[in-house]
Amino acid sequence: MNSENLCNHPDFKDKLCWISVFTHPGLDIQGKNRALSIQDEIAFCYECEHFKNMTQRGFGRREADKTIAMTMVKLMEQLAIKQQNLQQTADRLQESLEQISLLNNITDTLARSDRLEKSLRIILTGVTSGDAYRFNRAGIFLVNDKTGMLEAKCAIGPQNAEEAARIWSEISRIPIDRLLEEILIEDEFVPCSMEAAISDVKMSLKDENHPLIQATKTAREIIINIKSDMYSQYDFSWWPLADQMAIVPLVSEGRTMGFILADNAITGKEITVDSVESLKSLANACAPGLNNAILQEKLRAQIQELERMNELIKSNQAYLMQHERLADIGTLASKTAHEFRIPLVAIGGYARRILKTIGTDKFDPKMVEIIIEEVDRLADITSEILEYSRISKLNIKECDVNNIIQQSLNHLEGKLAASGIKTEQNFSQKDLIIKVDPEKLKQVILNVIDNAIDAMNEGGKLKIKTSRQKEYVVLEISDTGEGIDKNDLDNLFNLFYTTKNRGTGLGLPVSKKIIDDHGGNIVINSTPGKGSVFSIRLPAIQ
Amino acid sequence: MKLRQKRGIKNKQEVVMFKVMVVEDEKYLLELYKNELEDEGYSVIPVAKGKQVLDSIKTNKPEVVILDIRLDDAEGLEILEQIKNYDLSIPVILNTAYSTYKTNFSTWIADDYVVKSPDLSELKSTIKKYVHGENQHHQQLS
Repeated sequence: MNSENLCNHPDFKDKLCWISVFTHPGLDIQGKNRALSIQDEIAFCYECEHFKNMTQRGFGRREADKTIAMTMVKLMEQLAIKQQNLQQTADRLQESLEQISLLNNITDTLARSDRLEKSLRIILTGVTSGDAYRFNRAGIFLVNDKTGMLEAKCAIGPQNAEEAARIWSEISRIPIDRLLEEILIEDEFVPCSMEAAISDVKMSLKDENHPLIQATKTAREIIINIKSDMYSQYDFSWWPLADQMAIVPLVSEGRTMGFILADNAITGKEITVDSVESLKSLANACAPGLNNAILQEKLRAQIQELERMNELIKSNQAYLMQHERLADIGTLASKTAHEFRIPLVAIGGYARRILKTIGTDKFDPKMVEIIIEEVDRLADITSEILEYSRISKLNIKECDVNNIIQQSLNHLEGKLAASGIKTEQNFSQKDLIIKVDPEKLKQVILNVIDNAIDAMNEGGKLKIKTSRQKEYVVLEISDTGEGIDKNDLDNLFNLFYTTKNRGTGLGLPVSKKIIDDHGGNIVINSTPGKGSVFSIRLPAIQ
Repeated sequence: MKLRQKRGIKNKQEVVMFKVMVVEDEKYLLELYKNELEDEGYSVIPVAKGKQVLDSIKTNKPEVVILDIRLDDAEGLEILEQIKNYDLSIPVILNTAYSTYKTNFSTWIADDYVVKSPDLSELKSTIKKYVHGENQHHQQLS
């Protein structure tokens, strides 16, 4: 300030001489080019040298001159106020333009974010960097629906002045749009000290008195003055240094997802209602993008979970199949041991008896025959067990079911005739092509017909019918034999279960396994005293 | 018990051939048992079907029953129960291919168990226990 412009009168010490102000409008008062506050800073002294000089020059000699001078000063005062207002409006406009530009930038970047972590960082960078919002630090808390907690998710900003000086000097040279772009391409983020400090902060949504929960539930922005009586009972130590913080909810589709917390703890700049309003605009603009990011994150987590489950199922399936097979083999082994025991007891018993009776009249050569027969029976059981237990490779071909049945019937022609059994064939002539191992299917048909022959020991009729039923080719083999009672029917596919005196109890389990391996099924219906129907369904070629 | 004692006295006094009923559905085993037990001097009543057992007991009045049971087949155990319901004093020796018979409490009502074996000496010695009334106070809960 230039001392020659000051009023010399002792009553107006350190105040500007009004004449000098009048002659130099916009004078720099305190070294700052700001609008004058007329009443406080200017001495309206009519006795000073400047005034006298002026009055000597003819101005101010009359009272009217003083009035004119006063009016001019008043006009100057008003002009200065207008100028001040205009400057403020221009500043606000500039700030708003910067905010709008940044907001566009943020929402554009958000739309391209593919991870929640990036989206959170984009928003917080917008809040704290550049000239638009100018908060020192910011964090985002989100509601976790599963746990019913409000959880700290991300924070940006320094924990103290030293850190602030370092960080801000680093990023001040980087334009905000580049900062945002860098977040998009980053894969891994190293949490800043503030983020590390709040990483475990969470609060229950049930704690309805807590100001942060209230702000979330009511979706209202608030300024928290931590040291005020109203908030002193709550612990905010997890957000160090702060005296004041702005809480602005993030609302999308009528639902509060969480809030942005921001403060100016480093610079100590007061958080104004205006700054909270601008932060609210940013929160509102970013909320849909953030909501999308949250949904995407949930979806990604679900996909990952599904993939994990899928892997688990795959590995379990292999394990189960192996396990099932082992269990099956275990059952087979125990049943085999038992099934072997009976013929072995007979063989051993007769061998002993032969030894005892040989050369006496009690020796009967039939005993040797029995031994041979029982050994044959053991051989039969052995081969059927091998058939059942080995991992059979199917030799799949496209075949007409009718041909396979015909070949099987030809094979049994003699046996059927000898048993006094007549056959009746009812073959459909179309769409009976299936993918099958013909030898295996023949084995099944022979087995079923063999059972039918045994069931009709006094002769009867064997009916064989083929048909196409939707996506299946169906073979029905029915007999007019003695039928199967309920208890036997329930057990027919169990290993070693047999109703025949000399059966192995393996024929039907093997048959069922073959049909199962082809993706088909085998069903038996029977009426005791009237006969049985075996229905075999196999997938047809579409 | 009275019936059992009466038969024992009768055997000693009249020297009637001791009657053993063999219930076995495997025809060769049935034939083997019949031959072997006849060699031992018993009168053997062979029964191949479970359903005929009770009628045959009523008709032939055997002193001992050798009963083949399959543990997964309710029929054998039903027959055991029928025999014991008809006359608790008739000794029943279970003859089975399973060595795990004792875990099935339904078999505890039987007087003895012999696991099927090509060597019939165990079966024969078990039958002998009942021939001379040595085991007439056989403890069924032991």
